[in-house]
Amino acid sequence: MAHLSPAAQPVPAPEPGAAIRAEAVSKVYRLGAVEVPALFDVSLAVDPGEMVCIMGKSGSGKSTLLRQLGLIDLPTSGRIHLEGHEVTGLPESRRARLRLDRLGYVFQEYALIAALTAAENVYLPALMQGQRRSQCRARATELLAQVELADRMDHRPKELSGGEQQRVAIARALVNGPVIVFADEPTANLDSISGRAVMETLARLNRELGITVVFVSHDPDDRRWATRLVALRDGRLESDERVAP
Amino acid sequence: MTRFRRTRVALFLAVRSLARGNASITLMSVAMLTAIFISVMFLPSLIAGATDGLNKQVVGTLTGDLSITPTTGSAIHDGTAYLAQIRGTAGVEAATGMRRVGNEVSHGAESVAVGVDAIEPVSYAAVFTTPQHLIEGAFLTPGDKDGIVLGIGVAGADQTRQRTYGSSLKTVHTGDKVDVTLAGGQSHTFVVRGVYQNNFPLSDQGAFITLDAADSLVSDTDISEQLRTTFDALDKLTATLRTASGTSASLATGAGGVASALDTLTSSASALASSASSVDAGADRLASSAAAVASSASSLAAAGQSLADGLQKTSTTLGKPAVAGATGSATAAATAAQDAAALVATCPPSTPAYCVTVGHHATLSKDAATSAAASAKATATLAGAVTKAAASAATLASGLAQLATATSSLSTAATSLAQGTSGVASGAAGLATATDEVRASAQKVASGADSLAAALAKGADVTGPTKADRDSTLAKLDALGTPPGKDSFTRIVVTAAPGADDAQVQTQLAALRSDVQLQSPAQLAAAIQDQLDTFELIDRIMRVMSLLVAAITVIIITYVDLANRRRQIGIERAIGIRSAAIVGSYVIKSIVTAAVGTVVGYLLFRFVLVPVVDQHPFQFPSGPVTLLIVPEVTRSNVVILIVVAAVAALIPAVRTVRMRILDAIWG
Repeated sequence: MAHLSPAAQPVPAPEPGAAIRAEAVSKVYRLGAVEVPALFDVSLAVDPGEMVCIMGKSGSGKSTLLRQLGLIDLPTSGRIHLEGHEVTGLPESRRARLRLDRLGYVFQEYALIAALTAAENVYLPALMQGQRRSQCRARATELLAQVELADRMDHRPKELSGGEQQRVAIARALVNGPVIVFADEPTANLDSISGRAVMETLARLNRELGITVVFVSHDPDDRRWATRLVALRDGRLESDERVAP
Repeated sequence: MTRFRRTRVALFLAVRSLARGNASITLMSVAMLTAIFISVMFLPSLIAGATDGLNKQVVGTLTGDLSITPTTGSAIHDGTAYLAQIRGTAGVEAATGMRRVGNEVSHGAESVAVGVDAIEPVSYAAVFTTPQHLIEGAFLTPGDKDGIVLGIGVAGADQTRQRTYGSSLKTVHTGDKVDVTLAGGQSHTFVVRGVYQNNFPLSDQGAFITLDAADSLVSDTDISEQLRTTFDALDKLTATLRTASGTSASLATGAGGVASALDTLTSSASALASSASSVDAGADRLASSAAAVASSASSLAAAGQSLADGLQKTSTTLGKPAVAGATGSATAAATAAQDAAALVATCPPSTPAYCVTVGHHATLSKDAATSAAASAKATATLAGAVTKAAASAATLASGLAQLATATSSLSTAATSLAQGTSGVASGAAGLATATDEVRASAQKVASGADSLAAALAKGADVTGPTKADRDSTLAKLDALGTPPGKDSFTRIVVTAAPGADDAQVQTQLAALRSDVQLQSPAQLAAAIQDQLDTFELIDRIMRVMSLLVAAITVIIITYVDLANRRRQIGIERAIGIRSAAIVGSYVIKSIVTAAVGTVVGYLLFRFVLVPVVDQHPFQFPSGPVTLLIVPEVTRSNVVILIVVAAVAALIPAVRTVRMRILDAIWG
């Protein structure tokens, strides 16, 4: 597989060390007058090339932690460092830029734009980055081949299975050459075979391309794809261990 | 650059969404905007159609392209000649004159106050469409002196559904007799030839007779016209006096010429006297010459007398006798000289003493003939001067008295000159004296002519009332409603040729005559301006309401679309798509939808609705009304609708992208 080109947008030069790091991150949701704590002082550093599985029961705060790390949500307290730079207090426009250039995101379900083909879904972020259409399409073709969907690139999402849609989402997450790919329970709505194919794809990209992957799962079987297991319980970090895949 | 990327992504998303998105929502949006565009177009087109219809009715039945009315008084005089001038003007297709002759039509117990116009049927039909709108009978024909054509608003014609029926004669039809009260107050009965209906209240309230009929009812000239004729005569008299004044000045100049000629005569007479004084013995033939000179003087006196009697008739004859006399004298003297010479020739060689005397006599006679010839020449000069004076004096009778005095003196002088013929010397002296007197008389003539010229000029200046006085008098007569006379019009209406420049035609017509004013239909359409203003107000209100409906519709459609796509928008933002690009995609979608809606709406309006209404026009009080598409209004409606659609899409789109990503995706 060809090396993914760096993002077109200028970004701060990465500092040595963790790809992403959370320092004492807490999150409290406010539902009207009611405050619902979701994370308590969670600190976590993900090194480049790791494939981290965040595990925990439902309500343990694993998806909340992923959203803080993925710059989709703002922590109530604590700090997030991306490639050594603190990004916690950045305005939404800057965080959107970082999400576009440096991060990839795979959602649980229905994450593709229905009006676009598989290839268009893949190269949409590249288009946003300012790359030429032909270049975008070539990159999408290449990435869809990586996720073994070269023959489905002109299919619309409704013409793809759930597993295929998730692999298209993975290709989209990779299109701008991200530092980290976040995956929020990518197999939750898939059958076991499709789920396995999705996880195999992520693991292969991690293994062969060295792409850092942080994924959330409540399925104990998914831990086998990880090189590091992070367990949360009631919003607190319960365990953090490196494992051999 | 960033803006270009956002626009490109916005365009990309919008086009894909339109092409592959929810077709039912897209179609519904297009259908709604189509309906809104049609509704926005409908009222302005209806109003434009109504306005156009009104304008056509005004031009076709009331005003033509140009109305010409008098600026002073109530009538345009010398109408026929003026009408010919108008018709000969470039850019004029047709013109017709109208004369307001009556103000009331009655039938039985019913009467209607209405202006009755006299027209020339053929030219009227070339300008107005009214003759094409007869609902019964026929239009007037040239020469018809008893016929009248009535509008439905006057005749009624049993059309009880007509709005004007109540104020009409109600039951009048073709063939009925109606009485017309003429402007002068008298009444005349006409037979109804036809009834017309223009479907335009302003022109359906009318009545027409022919100009032939009108001419048979009024005097050749009305009082105003007579007064105008008097004023015109005064103007001409003033001009004549001014000319006579100039002629008197010429007479004075001529008299000066007479004096100058007399100087020449004096000189000639002196020469004659000098010659005569040297003649002693052979005075008989010299006397004859002197008699000829006297005859010459008599001729001069006769010429002076003729000048006194009336220089205009005697200018030629005045000179002839004098010239003839002088010439005769010269001839006689020459003959005497020849005779003497012949006598000398018969003398024997011994040359007796009488031959010597006769030879001397012949020499003297020859000299006398030379002097007489000079006298004749001088007399001819005098005759020329007198002729000039006579020609100048001929134009003014009042100067003749002065001239008579002068010519009397001339006669006396001439008589003295004649008496002086008994002795050459005394005759010559008398001639000189007479010449002096004649000169003095000529000077008097000149002085008298000057005085006369001054008097005439003064008379010309004070002749007649002032223009303000005349206008005031005529206005008072017009206020009394005196009927216009023959060959006069109260209004002339002009139709411009197709493609003619109306302004240029108006300028050319304005240059023809100064006592008229030209008015275009717009200037005459004040009567319908209230209706047009009302239409305009309704149009504005309806347009604002339609645009509000359009805006609300687009907001609702976009809001529903966005509600269904909230999660997708959250995902797009989560993967780094900028909010501006997302908002832009919805704005572009709305613009495209609005554009398609307006195009479809326009096509439906233009090729379906307009033809249907053309077949079945709306019936308005002002007549049938169709839809008229105004390009400027159409363009503004398209632009406004698209802008409204863009703004309407912007509001919910901005509101949605301002949501937190979490709420958008998982909320």
